Amino acid sequence: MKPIDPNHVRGHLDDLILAALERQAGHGWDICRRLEQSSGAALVVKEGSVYPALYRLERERLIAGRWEDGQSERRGPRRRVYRLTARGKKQLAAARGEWLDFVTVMGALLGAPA
Amino acid sequence: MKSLRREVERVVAPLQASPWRKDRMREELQAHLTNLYEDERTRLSDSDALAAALSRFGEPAELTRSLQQSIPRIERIAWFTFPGHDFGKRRPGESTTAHILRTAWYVAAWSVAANIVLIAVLPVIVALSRRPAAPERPSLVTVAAFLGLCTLVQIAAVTLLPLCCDLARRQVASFKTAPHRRLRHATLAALGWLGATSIGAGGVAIVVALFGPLFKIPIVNLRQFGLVIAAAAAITLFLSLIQSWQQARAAQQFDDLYGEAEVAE
Repeated sequence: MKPIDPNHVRGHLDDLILAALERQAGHGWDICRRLEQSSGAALVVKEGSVYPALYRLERERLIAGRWEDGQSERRGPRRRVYRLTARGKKQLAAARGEWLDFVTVMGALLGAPA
Repeated sequence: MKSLRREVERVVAPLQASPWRKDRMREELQAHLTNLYEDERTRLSDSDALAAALSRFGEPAELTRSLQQSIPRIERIAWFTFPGHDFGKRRPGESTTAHILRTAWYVAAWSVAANIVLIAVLPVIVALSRRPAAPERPSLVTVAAFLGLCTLVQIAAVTLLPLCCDLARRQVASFKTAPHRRLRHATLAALGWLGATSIGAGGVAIVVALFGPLFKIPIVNLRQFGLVIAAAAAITLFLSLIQSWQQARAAQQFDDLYGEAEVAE
Protein backbone atom coordinates (compact mmCIF):
# COMPACT_ATOMS: atom_id res chain seq x y z
CA MET A 1 0.00 0.00 0.00
CA LYS A 2 1.24 3.50 -0.83
CA PRO A 3 2.12 5.66 2.19
CA ILE A 4 -0.66 8.05 3.21
CA ASP A 5 0.13 11.76 3.10
CA PRO A 6 0.16 12.86 6.77
CA ASN A 7 -1.73 16.01 5.75
CA HIS A 8 -4.77 13.81 4.97
CA VAL A 9 -4.74 12.61 8.56
CA ARG A 10 -4.85 16.12 9.96
CA GLY A 11 -8.24 16.58 11.56
CA HIS A 12 -8.67 12.85 12.09
CA LEU A 13 -5.80 12.23 14.48
CA ASP A 14 -8.01 12.57 17.56
CA ASP A 15 -10.41 9.91 16.25
CA LEU A 16 -7.53 7.65 15.25
CA ILE A 17 -6.14 7.87 18.78
CA LEU A 18 -9.55 7.04 20.26
CA ALA A 19 -9.73 4.01 17.96
CA ALA A 20 -6.21 2.93 18.93
CA LEU A 21 -7.20 3.02 22.60
CA GLU A 22 -10.52 1.24 22.11
CA ARG A 23 -9.37 -2.28 22.79
CA GLN A 24 -6.58 -1.62 25.20
CA ALA A 25 -5.12 1.25 27.18
CA GLY A 26 -1.68 2.43 26.15
CA HIS A 27 0.86 5.23 26.19
CA GLY A 28 1.94 7.47 23.32
CA TRP A 29 4.49 4.97 22.05
CA ASP A 30 1.87 2.17 21.97
CA ILE A 31 -0.57 4.38 20.12
CA CYS A 32 1.97 5.19 17.40
CA ARG A 33 2.82 1.50 16.98
CA ARG A 34 -0.86 0.51 16.81
CA LEU A 35 -1.57 3.16 14.16
CA GLU A 36 1.44 1.98 12.19
CA GLN A 37 0.48 -1.69 12.40
CA SER A 38 -3.23 -1.19 11.73
CA SER A 39 -2.46 0.82 8.61
CA GLY A 40 0.06 -1.72 7.33
CA ALA A 41 2.80 0.90 7.81
CA ALA A 42 1.04 3.14 5.27
CA LEU A 43 0.31 5.77 7.91
CA VAL A 44 3.35 7.37 9.51
CA VAL A 45 2.61 10.37 11.70
CA LYS A 46 5.20 12.62 13.29
CA GLU A 47 5.18 10.89 16.64
CA GLY A 48 5.50 14.03 18.74
CA SER A 49 2.19 15.24 17.30
CA VAL A 50 0.35 12.47 19.16
CA TYR A 51 0.96 14.22 22.50
CA PRO A 52 -0.85 17.52 21.84
CA ALA A 53 -3.78 15.38 20.66
CA LEU A 54 -3.60 13.24 23.81
CA TYR A 55 -3.59 16.33 26.05
CA ARG A 56 -6.52 17.77 24.14
CA LEU A 57 -8.51 14.54 24.42
CA GLU A 58 -7.73 14.26 28.11
CA ARG A 59 -8.87 17.83 28.66
CA GLU A 60 -12.14 16.99 26.94
CA ARG A 61 -12.39 13.89 29.16
CA LEU A 62 -12.54 11.56 26.17
CA ILE A 63 -9.54 9.71 27.57
CA ALA A 64 -8.09 9.44 31.07
CA GLY A 65 -4.41 9.14 31.86
CA ARG A 66 -2.37 7.86 34.78
CA TRP A 67 1.35 7.45 35.26
CA GLU A 68 2.81 4.01 34.68
CA ASP A 69 3.36 2.31 38.01
CA GLY A 70 6.84 2.14 39.49
CA GLN A 71 6.95 -1.67 39.23
CA SER A 72 7.93 -1.50 35.56
CA GLU A 73 11.38 -2.91 34.80
CA ARG A 74 11.90 -0.18 32.24
CA ARG A 75 14.44 2.48 33.19
CA GLY A 76 14.25 6.19 32.37
CA PRO A 77 11.41 8.71 32.39
CA ARG A 78 7.92 7.54 33.31
CA ARG A 79 5.19 7.09 30.73
CA ARG A 80 1.57 8.00 31.03
CA VAL A 81 -0.96 5.33 30.17
CA TYR A 82 -4.24 6.48 28.61
CA ARG A 83 -7.56 4.68 28.45
CA LEU A 84 -10.79 5.47 26.71
CA THR A 85 -13.58 6.90 28.88
CA ALA A 86 -17.31 6.29 28.39
CA ARG A 87 -17.51 9.72 26.82
CA GLY A 88 -14.61 8.80 24.53
CA LYS A 89 -16.43 5.64 23.43
CA LYS A 90 -19.49 7.70 22.49
CA GLN A 91 -17.30 10.14 20.58
CA LEU A 92 -15.62 7.28 18.73
CA ALA A 93 -18.98 5.82 17.72
CA ALA A 94 -20.10 9.23 16.48
CA ALA A 95 -16.83 9.70 14.57
CA ARG A 96 -17.31 6.33 12.89
CA GLY A 97 -20.82 7.30 11.81
CA GLU A 98 -19.60 10.61 10.41
CA TRP A 99 -16.78 8.88 8.60
CA LEU A 100 -19.13 6.39 6.94
CA ASP A 101 -21.34 9.25 5.75
CA PHE A 102 -18.29 11.11 4.47
CA VAL A 103 -16.92 8.08 2.61
CA THR A 104 -20.33 7.33 1.12
CA VAL A 105 -20.78 10.86 -0.18
CA MET A 106 -17.18 11.24 -1.39
CA GLY A 107 -17.26 7.80 -2.98
CA ALA A 108 -20.39 8.71 -4.90
CA LEU A 109 -18.90 12.04 -5.99
CA LEU A 110 -15.63 10.48 -7.10
CA GLY A 111 -17.31 7.54 -8.75
CA ALA A 112 -15.55 5.13 -6.46
CA PRO A 113 -18.13 3.80 -3.98
CA ALA A 114 -16.70 2.40 -0.76
CA MET B 1 20.89 11.19 26.95
CA LYS B 2 21.44 14.92 27.03
CA SER B 3 20.91 15.51 23.32
CA LEU B 4 17.39 14.12 23.70
CA ARG B 5 16.73 16.16 26.84
CA ARG B 6 17.90 19.30 25.05
CA GLU B 7 15.56 18.54 22.17
CA VAL B 8 12.64 18.10 24.54
CA GLU B 9 13.60 21.33 26.27
CA ARG B 10 13.53 23.16 22.92
CA VAL B 11 9.94 22.03 22.56
CA VAL B 12 8.71 22.57 26.12
CA ALA B 13 10.66 25.62 27.37
CA PRO B 14 8.86 28.24 25.21
CA LEU B 15 5.39 27.05 26.26
CA GLN B 16 3.13 29.36 28.23
CA ALA B 17 2.04 26.77 30.75
CA SER B 18 2.36 26.01 34.44
CA PRO B 19 5.69 24.50 35.56
CA TRP B 20 4.00 21.26 36.64
CA ARG B 21 2.33 20.83 33.24
CA LYS B 22 5.68 21.46 31.57
CA ASP B 23 7.33 18.88 33.83
CA ARG B 24 4.71 16.33 32.84
CA MET B 25 5.22 17.08 29.15
CA ARG B 26 8.99 16.88 29.55
CA GLU B 27 8.75 13.46 31.12
CA GLU B 28 6.36 12.02 28.55
CA LEU B 29 8.14 13.46 25.52
CA GLN B 30 11.49 12.40 26.94
CA ALA B 31 10.24 8.83 27.40
CA HIS B 32 8.91 8.71 23.84
CA LEU B 33 12.02 10.23 22.29
CA THR B 34 14.21 7.78 24.23
CA ASN B 35 12.14 4.89 22.87
CA LEU B 36 12.49 6.26 19.34
CA TYR B 37 16.24 6.60 19.74
CA GLU B 38 16.61 3.08 21.12
CA ASP B 39 14.46 1.75 18.30
CA GLU B 40 16.62 3.45 15.66
CA ARG B 41 19.84 2.40 17.36
CA THR B 42 19.07 -1.26 16.70
CA ARG B 43 19.83 -0.63 13.03
CA LEU B 44 21.82 2.64 12.85
CA SER B 45 24.93 4.21 14.34
CA ASP B 46 24.48 6.48 17.38
CA SER B 47 24.55 9.77 15.47
CA ASP B 48 22.36 8.48 12.64
CA ALA B 49 19.95 7.00 15.17
CA LEU B 50 19.67 10.38 16.88
CA ALA B 51 18.95 12.15 13.58
CA ALA B 52 16.38 9.50 12.60
CA ALA B 53 14.69 9.66 16.03
CA LEU B 54 14.42 13.44 15.84
CA SER B 55 13.03 13.24 12.33
CA ARG B 56 10.35 10.76 13.42
CA PHE B 57 9.56 12.89 16.45
CA GLY B 58 8.74 16.01 14.40
CA GLU B 59 9.86 19.58 14.02
CA PRO B 60 10.28 21.24 17.48
CA ALA B 61 8.70 24.59 16.58
CA GLU B 62 5.64 22.90 15.08
CA LEU B 63 5.34 20.65 18.10
CA THR B 64 5.58 23.64 20.45
CA ARG B 65 2.74 25.33 18.55
CA SER B 66 0.55 22.23 18.77
CA LEU B 67 1.29 21.74 22.46
CA GLN B 68 0.54 25.39 23.17
CA GLN B 69 -2.90 24.97 21.63
CA SER B 70 -3.58 21.96 23.85
CA ILE B 71 -3.14 24.08 27.00
CA PRO B 72 -6.30 25.61 28.51
CA ARG B 73 -6.72 29.30 27.67
CA ILE B 74 -6.89 30.36 31.33
CA GLU B 75 -3.55 28.68 32.01
CA ARG B 76 -2.01 30.30 28.95
CA ILE B 77 -3.08 33.70 30.26
CA ALA B 78 -1.93 32.94 33.81
CA TRP B 79 1.53 31.93 32.62
CA PHE B 80 1.87 34.53 29.91
CA THR B 81 5.46 35.46 29.23
CA PHE B 82 6.68 38.60 27.51
CA PRO B 83 9.08 38.32 24.58
CA GLY B 84 12.65 38.35 25.89
CA HIS B 85 11.51 37.06 29.28
CA ASP B 86 14.26 34.44 29.22
CA PHE B 87 17.08 37.00 29.33
CA GLY B 88 17.79 35.76 32.84
CA LYS B 89 18.43 32.20 31.74
CA ARG B 90 21.96 30.97 31.69
CA ARG B 91 23.26 30.44 28.17
CA PRO B 92 25.19 27.35 27.13
CA GLY B 93 28.90 27.96 27.70
CA GLU B 94 28.27 30.85 30.11
CA SER B 95 29.85 30.60 33.55
CA THR B 96 27.66 31.14 36.60
CA THR B 97 29.59 34.31 37.49
CA ALA B 98 29.21 35.74 33.98
CA HIS B 99 25.51 34.85 34.09
CA ILE B 100 25.03 36.56 37.46
CA LEU B 101 26.84 39.69 36.31
CA ARG B 102 24.93 39.85 33.02
CA THR B 103 21.51 39.57 34.65
CA ALA B 104 22.53 41.85 37.54
CA TRP B 105 23.59 44.60 35.19
CA TYR B 106 20.46 44.20 33.12
CA VAL B 107 18.36 44.73 36.23
CA ALA B 108 20.62 47.61 37.31
CA ALA B 109 20.27 49.28 33.91
CA TRP B 110 16.47 49.16 34.19
CA SER B 111 16.66 50.50 37.72
CA VAL B 112 18.88 53.42 36.63
CA ALA B 113 16.58 54.17 33.70
CA ALA B 114 13.49 54.13 35.94
CA ASN B 115 15.11 56.46 38.46
CA ILE B 116 16.29 58.85 35.74
CA VAL B 117 12.74 59.03 34.39
CA LEU B 118 11.45 59.65 37.89
CA ILE B 119 14.00 62.42 38.53
CA ALA B 120 13.08 64.03 35.20
CA VAL B 121 9.35 63.79 35.78
CA LEU B 122 9.31 64.98 39.42
CA PRO B 123 9.82 68.73 38.70
CA VAL B 124 6.95 68.58 36.20
CA ILE B 125 4.67 66.93 38.75
CA VAL B 126 5.67 69.50 41.39
CA ALA B 127 5.13 72.38 38.92
CA LEU B 128 1.71 71.06 37.96
CA SER B 129 0.71 70.53 41.56
CA ARG B 130 -1.57 73.33 42.74
CA ARG B 131 -1.04 72.60 46.39
CA PRO B 132 1.18 75.13 48.18
CA ALA B 133 4.61 73.79 49.08
CA ALA B 134 4.86 72.74 52.69
CA PRO B 135 7.84 74.35 54.43
CA GLU B 136 9.20 71.00 55.57
CA ARG B 137 8.91 69.37 52.13
CA PRO B 138 12.34 68.16 50.90
CA SER B 139 13.79 69.97 47.91
CA LEU B 140 13.96 68.41 44.47
CA VAL B 141 17.73 68.17 44.81
CA THR B 142 17.30 66.11 47.96
CA VAL B 143 14.80 63.81 46.28
CA ALA B 144 17.09 63.41 43.25
CA ALA B 145 20.05 62.67 45.51
CA PHE B 146 17.94 60.14 47.40
CA LEU B 147 16.92 58.34 44.20
CA GLY B 148 20.53 58.46 42.95
CA LEU B 149 21.78 56.89 46.17
CA CYS B 150 19.02 54.27 46.03
CA THR B 151 20.15 53.43 42.50
CA LEU B 152 23.75 52.97 43.64
CA VAL B 153 22.61 50.76 46.51
CA GLN B 154 20.43 48.77 44.12
CA ILE B 155 23.31 48.26 41.68
CA ALA B 156 25.58 47.10 44.47
CA ALA B 157 22.85 44.82 45.83
CA VAL B 158 21.86 43.15 42.55
CA THR B 159 25.51 42.60 41.65
CA LEU B 160 27.18 41.62 44.90
CA LEU B 161 24.32 39.84 46.63
CA PRO B 162 23.90 37.05 44.02
CA LEU B 163 27.69 36.66 43.86
CA CYS B 164 27.86 36.15 47.62
CA CYS B 165 24.98 33.67 47.45
CA ASP B 166 26.72 31.84 44.61
CA LEU B 167 29.92 31.63 46.66
CA ALA B 168 27.93 30.08 49.52
CA ARG B 169 26.10 27.73 47.15
CA ARG B 170 29.37 26.50 45.61
CA GLN B 171 30.86 25.86 49.04
CA VAL B 172 27.84 23.84 50.10
CA ALA B 173 28.03 21.88 46.82
CA SER B 174 31.70 21.13 47.57
CA PHE B 175 30.70 19.30 50.77
CA LYS B 176 30.16 16.15 48.73
CA THR B 177 33.10 16.43 46.35
CA ALA B 178 35.72 17.38 48.95
CA PRO B 179 34.50 16.09 52.32
CA HIS B 180 37.98 16.43 53.93
CA ARG B 181 37.77 20.24 53.61
CA ARG B 182 34.32 20.67 55.08
CA LEU B 183 35.40 23.17 57.72
CA ARG B 184 36.88 25.42 55.05
CA HIS B 185 33.78 25.12 52.86
CA ALA B 186 31.46 25.75 55.81
CA THR B 187 33.44 28.86 56.78
CA LEU B 188 33.39 30.22 53.24
CA ALA B 189 29.67 29.45 52.87
CA ALA B 190 28.98 31.27 56.13
CA LEU B 191 31.08 34.21 54.91
CA GLY B 192 29.13 34.26 51.65
CA TRP B 193 25.80 34.53 53.44
CA LEU B 194 27.24 36.98 55.96
CA GLY B 195 28.48 39.12 53.06
CA ALA B 196 25.05 39.04 51.42
CA THR B 197 23.40 39.95 54.73
CA SER B 198 25.84 42.82 55.27
CA ILE B 199 25.12 44.22 51.81
CA GLY B 200 21.36 44.20 52.42
CA ALA B 201 21.56 45.62 55.91
CA GLY B 202 24.33 48.09 54.96
CA GLY B 203 22.33 49.45 52.04
CA VAL B 204 19.28 50.07 54.21
CA ALA B 205 21.49 51.59 56.92
CA ILE B 206 23.08 54.07 54.51
CA VAL B 207 19.79 55.16 53.00
CA VAL B 208 18.01 55.50 56.35
CA ALA B 209 20.92 57.22 58.12
CA LEU B 210 21.51 59.78 55.38
CA PHE B 211 17.98 60.54 54.32
CA GLY B 212 15.81 59.58 57.25
CA PRO B 213 16.06 62.99 58.92
CA LEU B 214 15.49 64.82 55.63
CA PHE B 215 12.30 62.92 54.92
CA LYS B 216 11.15 63.12 58.51
CA ILE B 217 11.17 59.35 58.86
CA PRO B 218 10.11 58.88 62.46
CA ILE B 219 13.23 57.02 63.55
CA VAL B 220 14.35 59.13 66.41
CA ASN B 221 16.75 57.05 68.40
CA LEU B 222 19.55 54.56 67.96
CA ARG B 223 17.47 51.64 69.25
CA GLN B 224 14.83 52.06 66.55
CA PHE B 225 17.54 52.49 63.95
CA GLY B 226 19.15 49.26 65.17
CA LEU B 227 15.81 47.44 64.95
CA VAL B 228 15.33 48.51 61.32
CA ILE B 229 18.82 47.32 60.41
CA ALA B 230 18.33 44.02 62.27
CA ALA B 231 15.07 43.46 60.38
CA ALA B 232 16.80 44.29 57.09
CA ALA B 233 19.60 41.84 57.95
CA ALA B 234 17.14 39.05 58.83
CA ILE B 235 15.16 39.59 55.63
CA THR B 236 18.33 39.69 53.51
CA LEU B 237 19.67 36.54 55.12
CA PHE B 238 16.38 34.75 54.46
CA LEU B 239 16.32 35.94 50.83
CA SER B 240 19.97 34.94 50.41
CA LEU B 241 19.29 31.41 51.57
CA ILE B 242 16.37 31.16 49.13
CA GLN B 243 18.51 32.59 46.34
CA SER B 244 21.31 30.08 47.03
CA TRP B 245 18.75 27.26 46.92
CA GLN B 246 17.34 28.57 43.63
CA GLN B 247 20.84 28.94 42.20
CA ALA B 248 21.63 25.34 43.19
CA ARG B 249 18.44 24.12 41.52
CA ALA B 250 19.12 26.14 38.36
CA ALA B 251 22.74 24.95 38.26
CA GLN B 252 21.59 21.34 38.58
CA GLN B 253 19.08 21.76 35.74
CA PHE B 254 21.71 23.51 33.62
CA ASP B 255 24.26 20.76 34.24
CA ASP B 256 21.65 18.14 33.37
CA LEU B 257 21.23 19.77 29.97
CA TYR B 258 24.62 21.26 29.14
CA GLY B 259 27.02 19.81 31.74
CA GLU B 260 30.44 18.43 30.99
CA ALA B 261 29.24 14.84 31.27
CA GLU B 262 27.99 15.34 27.72
CA VAL B 263 31.60 14.99 26.50
CA ALA B 264 31.75 11.46 27.80
CA GLU B 265 28.65 10.39 25.91
